[in-house]
Amino acid sequence: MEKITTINLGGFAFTIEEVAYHNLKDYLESVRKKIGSDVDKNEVMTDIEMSIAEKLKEKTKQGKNIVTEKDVDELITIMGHPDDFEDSKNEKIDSDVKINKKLFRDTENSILGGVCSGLATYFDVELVLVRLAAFLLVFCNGIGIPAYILLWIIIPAAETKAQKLEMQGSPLTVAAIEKSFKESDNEKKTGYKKILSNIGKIFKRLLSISFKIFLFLINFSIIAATLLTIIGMTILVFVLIMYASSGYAIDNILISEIVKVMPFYLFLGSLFFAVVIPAFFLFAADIMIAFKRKILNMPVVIVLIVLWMIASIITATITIRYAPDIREKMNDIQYRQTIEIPSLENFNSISTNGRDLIISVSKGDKFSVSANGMKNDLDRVSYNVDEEKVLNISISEKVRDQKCLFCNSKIVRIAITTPNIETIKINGSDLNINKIVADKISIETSGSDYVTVNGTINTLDFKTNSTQSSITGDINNLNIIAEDSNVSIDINSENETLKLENTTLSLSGYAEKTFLDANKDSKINGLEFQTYDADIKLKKDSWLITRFENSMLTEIDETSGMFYMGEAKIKKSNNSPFATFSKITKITPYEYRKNLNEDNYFEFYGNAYRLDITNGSPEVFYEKRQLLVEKF
Amino acid sequence: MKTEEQEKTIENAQVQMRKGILEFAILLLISKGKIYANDILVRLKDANLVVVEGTIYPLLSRLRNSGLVNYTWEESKAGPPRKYYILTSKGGDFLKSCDSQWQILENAVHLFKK
Repeated sequence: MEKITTINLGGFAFTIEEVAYHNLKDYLESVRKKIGSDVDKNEVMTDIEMSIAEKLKEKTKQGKNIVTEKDVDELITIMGHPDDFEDSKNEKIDSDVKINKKLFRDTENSILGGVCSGLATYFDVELVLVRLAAFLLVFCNGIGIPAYILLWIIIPAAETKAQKLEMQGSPLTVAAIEKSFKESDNEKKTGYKKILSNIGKIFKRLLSISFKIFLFLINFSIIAATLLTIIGMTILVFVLIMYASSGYAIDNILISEIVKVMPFYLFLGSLFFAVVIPAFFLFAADIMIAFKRKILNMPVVIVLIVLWMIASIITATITIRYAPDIREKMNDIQYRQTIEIPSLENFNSISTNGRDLIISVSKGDKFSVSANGMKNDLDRVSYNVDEEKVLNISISEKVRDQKCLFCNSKIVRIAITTPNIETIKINGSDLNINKIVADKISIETSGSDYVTVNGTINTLDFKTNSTQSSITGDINNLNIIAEDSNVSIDINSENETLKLENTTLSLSGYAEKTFLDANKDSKINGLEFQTYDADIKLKKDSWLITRFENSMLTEIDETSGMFYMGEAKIKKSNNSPFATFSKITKITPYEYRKNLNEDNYFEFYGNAYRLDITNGSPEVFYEKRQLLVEKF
Repeated sequence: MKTEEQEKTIENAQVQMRKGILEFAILLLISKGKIYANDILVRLKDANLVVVEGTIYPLLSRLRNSGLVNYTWEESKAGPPRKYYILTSKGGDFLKSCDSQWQILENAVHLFKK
């Protein structure tokens, strides 16, 4: 592979290898010097060039397209060495001697790229010393290697005869060049030097390829971005015009409302040009640079610039003039407001439906229901109290009677105050019960994200499959049925009945009596929990860690297990012969470290503990602990 | 085996002899009618008088500057326009004197060779 170039010789264009070109150029240059005394040497040179051109022309006629180094060598043989041009009548002229030493890589005396030999020649130092210095530099933090590669890249190789002479600092005389011509006939690159020079070429090529890829990526992203802008803007404008008179709304504002308060179409048109024209210019400029193709002429550019200026002025004017009107319009719709919902009284149950609701229930002397949200969203909510004293609240998924572009529904907060509440049924909505006082409440939630219950309640029945539930306060009797959820309980109670399936429970506070029935991969962290009497059933990979003080009845299958503290007397049921029991004597909070593999290290809910156990085999504990760590 | 130096001396003598006769030969060729530089070369090569082509151009140029030859441009089908050389009257006179000089040389060589 050779780099090629194009030359003009005697009025004809030739494609020629670069090395061949340099040789030819050097040759002609030295011939010119030989015939230097001639009165009209330019004419002679033209004659010679034309003669060469004719010969090359003949070669290209024979189907050879590219002039090679060999062709030039042949030509020089035919035309004669510069020596032959010497005229007996003329004195030998070596007056135009130049001593102009230049730094080149000396590829003829190279080990790798000829950097050292080049430097040695340039600074007139012993080559061995330079190489030694380079070798030592490799051991100075490896600085020698990148330095060498850098020099390899930036210093050109001495390829042509003239360059080789310049490198030596030899006077650039005809005689010298001739000498080097004669020498070069005997020189052929040896195999390994050829490989090295090829490696150098490949390296340079890789660099240039990666640079080209980089350029391509930049060009590609500019073209893609500008095209997307143009296409996107076109689609946007078309869609808005098409839907202008329909019942559609943009972000809950009817388009027809906007059309009424401002020159809508003029604004769209001018906005379109104000955005698209600069994008198009960027696009055209990039095409021009990347593909060297002109796709814009001056008149078009001027027209576009004028159009852009007009469009921008109109856009700016309309924006400044009508922005307050639009904002006012938006304020009507988009500001959050609180409204009282009248005539909702005498209910003892609440039933809600819809994910965009957050329901708060609190105790008060009178019945009242208020809603907070944006106007459009408030309109989506419907309320009624039915014959069975149930307050029904539901929110429709879509803005009613209105098709909407770029709309997202927003949350409506409902605050309910009631003197008396017995049943709450929640579907999808979030529920927040705060500081409620009641004798008996039954709550059922499904599909909610967050449910929190806080208050003083004698009996709370709580059924949930919501993502996250939290129960706090004083609750004497708590009955929980939880499925596929995360529950946290922090209460003081007399009786806790916990029926769990595939549920993670974080248990705090204390209970006189605890009935726990955990099934299907349930995990219970009761490190902060204390109970006196307990009836524990753990099935199907369910695990418990807690404190028992009095007596404990257990029924645990072989896939489940328990770590406990306290002085409880354990009665194992006959059904749990293989279950794991480990008594913990000490719990020390520990620095949380992810994947810490240390005996007695225990993770639960992102908290870490160190557990000291006395009975139960440490091996089993360790094994099961691993299981727990994995699970949580 | 000839040494390199011997070779050089011989080569040099030959070159000098050829060079001396080259001008005369070119003028003879041109005197036969208008002729193009490349054709001159072909004739010279056939006669083994010249090996390399480049040298002829400075020579032709010098002959023209001395007013011995002149040239006209003529279009060519194959390549660039060509210079066709013709002998001037001054060239004709010069050729005649060369010719008589050649006769003398030829006689001399002929005589000495016997």
